[in-house]
Amino acid sequence: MISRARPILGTFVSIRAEADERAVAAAFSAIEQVHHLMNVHSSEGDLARINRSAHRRAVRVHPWTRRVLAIARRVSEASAGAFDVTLGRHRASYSDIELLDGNRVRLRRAARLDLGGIAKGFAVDQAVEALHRHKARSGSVNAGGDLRVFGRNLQDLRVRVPRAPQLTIPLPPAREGAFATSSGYFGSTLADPVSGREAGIEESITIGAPSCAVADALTKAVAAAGPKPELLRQFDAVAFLVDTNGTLYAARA
Amino acid sequence: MRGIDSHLWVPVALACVPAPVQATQYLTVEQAQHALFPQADSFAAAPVRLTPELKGKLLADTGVPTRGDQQRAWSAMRNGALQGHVLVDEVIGKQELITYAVGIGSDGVVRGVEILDYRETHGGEIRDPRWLAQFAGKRGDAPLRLEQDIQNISGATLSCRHVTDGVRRLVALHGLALKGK
Repeated sequence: MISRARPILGTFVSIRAEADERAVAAAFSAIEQVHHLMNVHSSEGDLARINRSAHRRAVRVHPWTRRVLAIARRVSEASAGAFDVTLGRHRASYSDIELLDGNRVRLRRAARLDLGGIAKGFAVDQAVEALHRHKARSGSVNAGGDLRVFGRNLQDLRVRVPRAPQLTIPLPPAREGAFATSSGYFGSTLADPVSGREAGIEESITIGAPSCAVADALTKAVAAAGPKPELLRQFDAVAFLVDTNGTLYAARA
Repeated sequence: MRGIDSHLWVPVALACVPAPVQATQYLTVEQAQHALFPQADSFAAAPVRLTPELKGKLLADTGVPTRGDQQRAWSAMRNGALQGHVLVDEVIGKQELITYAVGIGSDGVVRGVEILDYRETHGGEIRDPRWLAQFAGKRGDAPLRLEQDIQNISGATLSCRHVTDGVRRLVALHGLALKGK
């Protein structure tokens, strides 16, 4: 079992795997590549290029960027815009993003996209794929609290308690699956893109789903619009809520 | 927020023992040396004395203060030729205690950063019985203990800004005191 942690994505990414060193190195490079493609601050990344010019002409992007945008659109449509990667103040919405052939992206109007609510989860998925490609038998990838586990054995999972993030409580253990949590602690805030208001949550929302990109995106949709059963069903997801007393609630499809 | 007001949320009866997070050791210094310079065949201690002049220059160049009077560093060698340096440093913040290593090539380019030890420190409230009382009935008699080695914790973790600031400072230090040596 190899266990490594590095500072990436503005947080700490840790990878544990029953695999060789090359597998773990490949997993970290996948995360670094997603970071490069999809963070607003890398000026040559896909996201910066889309924000700069996709409203004037179609921009060719990496297949991963297109996949993230496709997943984002599915979650936006299923949640009636409760999750949306376009920033509200430009009056644009997810429906202004056109995904064209040849991994090209066009914006119907000037808009700024922020993939902060999904890219970290997608990076976890790519790291897990890299571990699978290198024949890892089991493992887990945790990018600042967005995580995914795989393998034959049940793995223990825990979630932080809102307002007391030094404490954790257990979630049901899992063999395969991704878990992402949205909450207001450690200074992060959630905004409801429909109302533009801060969701200002006292509770934290955790989503369990087959992929971490979906789990990551759904946390925002459920925090904003509640754990709608048809939404959870569509993505084969389960929602958890932890209140400030450390009590765990669940909502299923 | 529509949180627990919603009838869709159902309480889950798990044995909810809240446990303080989280301490993990990832690598020893020696393992980190080999991870950062796998081709090196030996590592020679090359500590840097942190004089007030050097500290002042580092602060001016990077805006990051330097503590202590010595910086742990090693020269990575292969067949007697210098490949670069490994510097090991700590972040001791309000919420974190993190040891990390930076590998810097002879050209001054960062080869990699590895976390050696990661530990989120407790706020004082963890030891305050009044604060703990809110978890009464969930804890049973289990003492709150530091959970070693929990990998799978969901929920936002600490920012790595202090570590990336530290890396910047160590790159500057390398340029001033180690490059070519």
